[in-house]
Amino acid sequence: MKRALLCLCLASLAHAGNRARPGGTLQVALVSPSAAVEPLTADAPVDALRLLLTHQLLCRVVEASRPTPGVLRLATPPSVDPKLVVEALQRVSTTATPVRALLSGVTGWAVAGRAVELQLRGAAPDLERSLCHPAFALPLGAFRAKGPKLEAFDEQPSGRPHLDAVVLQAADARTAERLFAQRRVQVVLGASTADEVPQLFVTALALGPGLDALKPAIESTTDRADLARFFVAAPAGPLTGLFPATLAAQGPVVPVSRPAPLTPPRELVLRFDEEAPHEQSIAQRLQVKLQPLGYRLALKATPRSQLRGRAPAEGELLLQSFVLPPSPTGALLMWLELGGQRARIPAVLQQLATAADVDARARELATQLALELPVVPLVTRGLGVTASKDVQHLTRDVLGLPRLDDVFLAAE
Amino acid sequence: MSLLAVLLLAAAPGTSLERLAADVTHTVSAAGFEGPVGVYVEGGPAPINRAAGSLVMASLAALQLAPVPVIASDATDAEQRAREQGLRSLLRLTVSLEAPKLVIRGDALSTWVNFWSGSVPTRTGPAAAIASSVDADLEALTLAGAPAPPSTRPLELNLGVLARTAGLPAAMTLADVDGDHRAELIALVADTLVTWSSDGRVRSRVELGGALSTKPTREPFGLLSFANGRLVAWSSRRERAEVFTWQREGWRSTGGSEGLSVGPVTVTPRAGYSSFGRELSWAGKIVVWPEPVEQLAVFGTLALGVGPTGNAALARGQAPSTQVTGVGCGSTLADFDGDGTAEVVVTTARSTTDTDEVRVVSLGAFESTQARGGHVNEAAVAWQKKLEGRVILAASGDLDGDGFDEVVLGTWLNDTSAEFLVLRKSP
Repeated sequence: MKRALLCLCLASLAHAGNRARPGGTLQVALVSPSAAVEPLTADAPVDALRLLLTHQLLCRVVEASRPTPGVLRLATPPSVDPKLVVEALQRVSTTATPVRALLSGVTGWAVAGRAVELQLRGAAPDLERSLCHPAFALPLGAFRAKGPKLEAFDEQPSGRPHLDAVVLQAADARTAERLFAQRRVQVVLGASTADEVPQLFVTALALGPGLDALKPAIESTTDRADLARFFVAAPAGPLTGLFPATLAAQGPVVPVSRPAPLTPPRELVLRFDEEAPHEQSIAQRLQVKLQPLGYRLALKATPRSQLRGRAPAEGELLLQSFVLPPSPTGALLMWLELGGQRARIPAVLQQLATAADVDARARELATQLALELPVVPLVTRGLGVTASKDVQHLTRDVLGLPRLDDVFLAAE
Repeated sequence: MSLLAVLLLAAAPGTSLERLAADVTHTVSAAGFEGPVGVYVEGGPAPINRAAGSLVMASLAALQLAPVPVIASDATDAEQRAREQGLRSLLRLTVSLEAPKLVIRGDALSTWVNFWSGSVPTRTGPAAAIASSVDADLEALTLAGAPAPPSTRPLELNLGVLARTAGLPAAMTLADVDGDHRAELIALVADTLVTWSSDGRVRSRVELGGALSTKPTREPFGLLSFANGRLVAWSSRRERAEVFTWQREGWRSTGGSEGLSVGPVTVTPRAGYSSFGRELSWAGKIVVWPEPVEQLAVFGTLALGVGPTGNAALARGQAPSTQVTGVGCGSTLADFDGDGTAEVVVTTARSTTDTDEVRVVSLGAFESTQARGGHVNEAAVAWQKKLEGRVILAASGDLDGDGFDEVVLGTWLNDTSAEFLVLRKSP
């Protein structure tokens, strides 16, 4: 079947010859167990993609500028009510999930005409790129739900999409593959592919207080590459540091000596998202791998709403999946928040603000903090896509997700 | 045939009229007509009639056949006149230009009347049918008053880069804004109106004003048209068009404009789409195009419209009933050779590669393809070349003041920059 597919191993396919051809309905099979997605819980690539069909990344809607060093001005186009931006900021600032760290450098905001002005604490480096996170998404996507279809939204700030409509069809992987082979769908999203795609969706283990000794136990027994290869749907990869390859080059894996088994064995609780099959698989694998070292893990499937934003309690491990912003600074802040180190964020921001190269400094700090934070990065995930030849100009956005709003259907 | 006649024919006269005259003389000589021979010519325009008659008579004179011109109202009258003039033979010739052939038809007859016939005009002696044709040369075409023949020299064009921009242009036009008889290139790049001189020097930059559109298009799209000293600039990112006038090396905004026109054709934007509505106003008359129009080029009373699906048509004040398929929006009309007739410059409608191809097709070839609703590949190509990127915009005008059109192609490159390529006739 692969020969028939146009695998998205390239970030973009050039369209040439003529303008993009308008019109048409794209039939899409979506391999997704989730029924509904919200900006704060779009942790899986396929969920984020579904969200961004009807929502738009804030960074793509507003025009950011810094009129004074202490103000970030987000100017909105005529079709966007600035109140939507305020709602997004409010939503992120009041959540308990790690994404709230992205607003650490912001003390407040106010609407000024067609713009929203953010008052900054210090320099707030790279805040503009950090706003490219699904949690800030505005309900101004390229499509609007109308019955079973998603229809093109004429007043989309980036312009009406080329397609007239998208029809999503939820399916399991095998059904999606069959639909594609029968040409009943033109695109399968969430399909398992071995392509190299940008992966900003990460899964990590947050350790409860006093469980620092567990890190070498996990590092020495668990091969992340094996986790990614056998227990997570492709495309997936090992996450050896805090930053995936999209944000920083991956360093060599440093061998960790295997600690002596605990005596007597210690009972721990490992919670995972009941809606995330890959988390369950990873949890089971960790259970098996840690058992010889004296850690007896009790696995507890937990509703996503209860898991995200939860701080691990005594004797508790939490598997957390989340999406990093396409900014090393923003990603670093989220890891600090996940590791319960919120108090250190102002100092980190100060260090970054004075650095000549903010991204390079954020990578250095990430390498240091990876040893200190009570978190164990495990795997990264991307979104596999297969598309037929008539689907043109299927590019990926800053999160590595395919952009259906830019797609058009070729006549040939 | 006399030796002289053979020598005359063997001399292989040069022009098409001379060859025809030699053919006629050969026929007359071979049939054994006696002089004096009357020559009556009818049919074509007077100049070619006279020229054909003179050349035939010169040939006959060389054979000692004593040619005499016969002036008559028609061929029947010519026979009567010939007898009255005492001529022994008569040639009645009809000359016609049946492009690409020059044709002479008629007959040769003996006009000698037997003494014993009295007043009855009985015929005696030889007769011959005359029918000959040759390829019409420039002399014959000129004498016949025909339009200039198509040049047999293949169209040779040069392609060069006039200018580059970092962003993608939404619209483009060529216009002589300063009256130096050399057109300037004007393009709308994002919200900036940029003007280049014909040598690629930037002469002016000015920002569009006005309210932003609530329904912009996804790709850059707009329209620039220059007429009567006014430049109307419309971007799909803006609610309304803006009018500019050229003052001291720069454009000055003089306010908004509601109407968008290309020559005599007024178009209406479609909110959110990179095309104009099907309904066009052509000199005040409503014309409904087969589909929305992405590109419109006007050459005199002729318009070329290209739709988003790659269908294009030529029209003269009326909606076309058939279209040519496979045409890209970077197409336009231009008179490269200065013959007063437009050539059609077409790009491809392909969307599956990262290269484009520009072709020049004669108006006749395009119209013929359109008449049968064919694909543009079926039209004979006068010139073609492959290009990197996508040709999205095209406009024609006289950039260098030589009296011939040049075409500027606005090409979008994959790195979201653009090039303006000039297509001009080779010297």
